[in-house]
Amino acid sequence: MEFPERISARLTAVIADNVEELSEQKLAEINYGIAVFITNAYKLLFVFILALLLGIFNYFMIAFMSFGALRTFASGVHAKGEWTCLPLSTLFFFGIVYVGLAVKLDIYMISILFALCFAAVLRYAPADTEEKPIVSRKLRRKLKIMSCLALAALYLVSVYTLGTSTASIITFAVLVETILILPVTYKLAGSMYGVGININKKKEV
Amino acid sequence: MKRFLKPLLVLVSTLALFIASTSSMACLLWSLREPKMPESLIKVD
Repeated sequence: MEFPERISARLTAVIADNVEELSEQKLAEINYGIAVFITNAYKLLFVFILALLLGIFNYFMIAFMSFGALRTFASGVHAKGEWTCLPLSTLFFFGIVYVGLAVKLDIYMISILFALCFAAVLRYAPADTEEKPIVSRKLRRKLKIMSCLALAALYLVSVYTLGTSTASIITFAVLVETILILPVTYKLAGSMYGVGININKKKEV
Repeated sequence: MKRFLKPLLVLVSTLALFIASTSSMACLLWSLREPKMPESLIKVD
């Protein structure tokens, strides 16, 4: 068990002792909510402070928001351990910013990259994980539509900001997030792609 | 101390339930690791 889960288990035990009328199911959900918060909060704090110290906070926020806008709906592969996640998150976000600052993309490159990303999103989003399978077909369809809309919105923003670092940073953020939903990335990370789809298929057999 | 503890824990529980239910619908926070979701939160048609 990783440390966010250990802390959340202790806190949930305190809640169970002090707050009455909470079922086992609700306590499991509370435990999960606390674990999700801890898992994300300290990492976000770390990368935000690092971005401030490096003097690239505005560019970092562009990368973070673009990556997050697509990831919210398309999801994608996650690191297995707590201590591989933090270096990877840092590498991805700062890599996107520095590559975006160094490489200026023209309208053709942006359009080609977005077209490739759109094809991948259309085929593979939402990409769930063993930890959080997306079983519901309705939810899968909704998340796929939202992923496409997020991608279209990001394309419009990058075209609007053409010729600036913002356009390149948005494009690279979308590219990195799209790579994270590909089955080949799941294979490389040792994760299973399409857990929710497989659960659905087993139910139908 | 106990007078404040219970309302505080109720608040923490409510926030935790909100995070849990929202993150079961979408990838709410954008980091690269996620804890195992309880089965009760898995949406089924």
